[in-house]
Amino acid sequence: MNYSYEQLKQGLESRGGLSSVQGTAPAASAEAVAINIPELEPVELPMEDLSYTTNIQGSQQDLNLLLSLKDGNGGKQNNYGSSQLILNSDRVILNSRADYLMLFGEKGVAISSPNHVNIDADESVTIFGDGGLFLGVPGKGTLQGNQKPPKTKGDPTVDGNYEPLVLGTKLANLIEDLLVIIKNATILTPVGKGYFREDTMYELACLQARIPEILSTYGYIDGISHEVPDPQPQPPSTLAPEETTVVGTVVGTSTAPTTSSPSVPTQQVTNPLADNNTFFNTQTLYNDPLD
Amino acid sequence: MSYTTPPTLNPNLKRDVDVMASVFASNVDLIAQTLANGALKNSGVSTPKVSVSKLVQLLNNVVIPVIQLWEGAWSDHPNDSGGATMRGVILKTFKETFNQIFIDTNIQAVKSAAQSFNARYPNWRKDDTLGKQILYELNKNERIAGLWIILFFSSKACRYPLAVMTEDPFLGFFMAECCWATGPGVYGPNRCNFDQVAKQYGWNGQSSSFALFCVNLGPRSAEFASKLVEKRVQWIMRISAPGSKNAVFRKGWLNRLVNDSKNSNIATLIKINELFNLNSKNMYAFNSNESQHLKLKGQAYKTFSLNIPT
Repeated sequence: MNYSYEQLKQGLESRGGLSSVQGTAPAASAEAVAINIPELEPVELPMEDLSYTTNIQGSQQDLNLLLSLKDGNGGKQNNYGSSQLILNSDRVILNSRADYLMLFGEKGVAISSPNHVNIDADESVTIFGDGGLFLGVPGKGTLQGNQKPPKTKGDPTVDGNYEPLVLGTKLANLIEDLLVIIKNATILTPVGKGYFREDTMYELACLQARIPEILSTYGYIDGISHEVPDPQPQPPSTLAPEETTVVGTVVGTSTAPTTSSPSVPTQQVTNPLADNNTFFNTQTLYNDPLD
Repeated sequence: MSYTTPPTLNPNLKRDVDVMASVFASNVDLIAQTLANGALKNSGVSTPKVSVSKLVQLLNNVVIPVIQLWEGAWSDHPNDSGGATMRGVILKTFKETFNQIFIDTNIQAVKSAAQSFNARYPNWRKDDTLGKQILYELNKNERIAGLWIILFFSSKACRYPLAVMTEDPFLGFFMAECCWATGPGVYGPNRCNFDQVAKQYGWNGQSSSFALFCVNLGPRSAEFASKLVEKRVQWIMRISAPGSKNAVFRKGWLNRLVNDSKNSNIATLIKINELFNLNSKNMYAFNSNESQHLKLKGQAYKTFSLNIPT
């Protein structure tokens, strides 16, 4: 469609645009607009504000802005630029009586509340993300009381935004293997092989018995997707010689270890630098007689 | 606290900014003309058909109020990547160009006031809280805030639209307006591709000669301007199709470009043509050469026609 100069001028004059050279607020309605380019008309929603801000990616956002709702005549106007359906009420219930309740979103699905979000099921709940399962937003949660997240990152392993979860069964097996190796360990001493005493073996066995306790009987994570072990090291090509046999007779006496306090030398301890002219005499600490 | 809630200044800072603002305000026309003369010199337009002082008057009377109206006053929205903004001037630009406007223009009283302020608050550019307070307080004065618009019109990045205004005030305004809204990339193929239109009118493709090319368009400049407007309408319609991420902006963009009958770019075209080119209200004291040139320009724009696909 063609708009001539005269048409445009009439549109401006009808709004008083030439009588005052100062800009004035843009018209809220479009009744005197000279040009009519097809546009998406605002939809008036006579309703109250959506009631809260929501936490998205760790920052609070106004739901009205998030849904492209702006103040209009007598309510909110849809500035989303396309159609959108909004249910806004004191209480909203969606109930599927016989089959599934399904929520789909091309870009995403957001479930949010300023208080709590519960997902309950009589049977089981499975959460699956094709690209991974992430719990929490790094460093964004509100901690108890005045506790703050550490400002310095971990040492020696620098903190990453996300860390992998530990697999329970594999961890239990690893700890058990470790304990078995310790229990069966051969310790070389100058007089032959050494072993843990019976009481230590007993303690290790008690520790081993506690391993099943770390496995949850309720919560499970994907047990298939995990890292592979590092390459196995080469086994030792030679082992230390078998036990040494000491043949001979030990002669002498032995006494039980003393339990009394060690004796204190009688001579006075002097500072070897005391005769040096440049030696700087400091106050002694804790009445320690240095000189 | 809303993002439109302005910052609060302590009394000492407010007093210091207000004292500085009073010096700036009394010299605002001189600063504007100095900035504009710089643009003219850098663009290579040696013999302007309309004097810089008249163009600054046009900017003050018509152009700056419209731009400030669209930009609004104070905003510090957390989702706005530009950050705190006062009358269209973002904090980053404010910090970077403060010295350029008030010290480099070398107007003694203005320069002294700005230097004294910088010395008194040496860290104001590093401290964003302080920077926001100064931006808000100083740019409460619309004329002072308008200096950033004049600086923009004088910038090389926008291809010296103020120099183009000496030949065709609307064409220069429209170039600057599109750069303001879209960035200097507006000329390129990924945006409105004004360059393609210019090449059809004989431009050699060198951005440094764009202003001179526009000035030499002569009677064809009104027709060229109409092509640019149509190109921009097409671009907005293309990138804001329903369902696209820009769909939400379409209404606002079209309002600012053509749909708002009082303050759109097209409405401003009529204002500039009627009030400045044709001087219908005798607001400007043009000399005979200026009057003759602008009268021809005004008559050329009478044939302006906007072709909108439906």
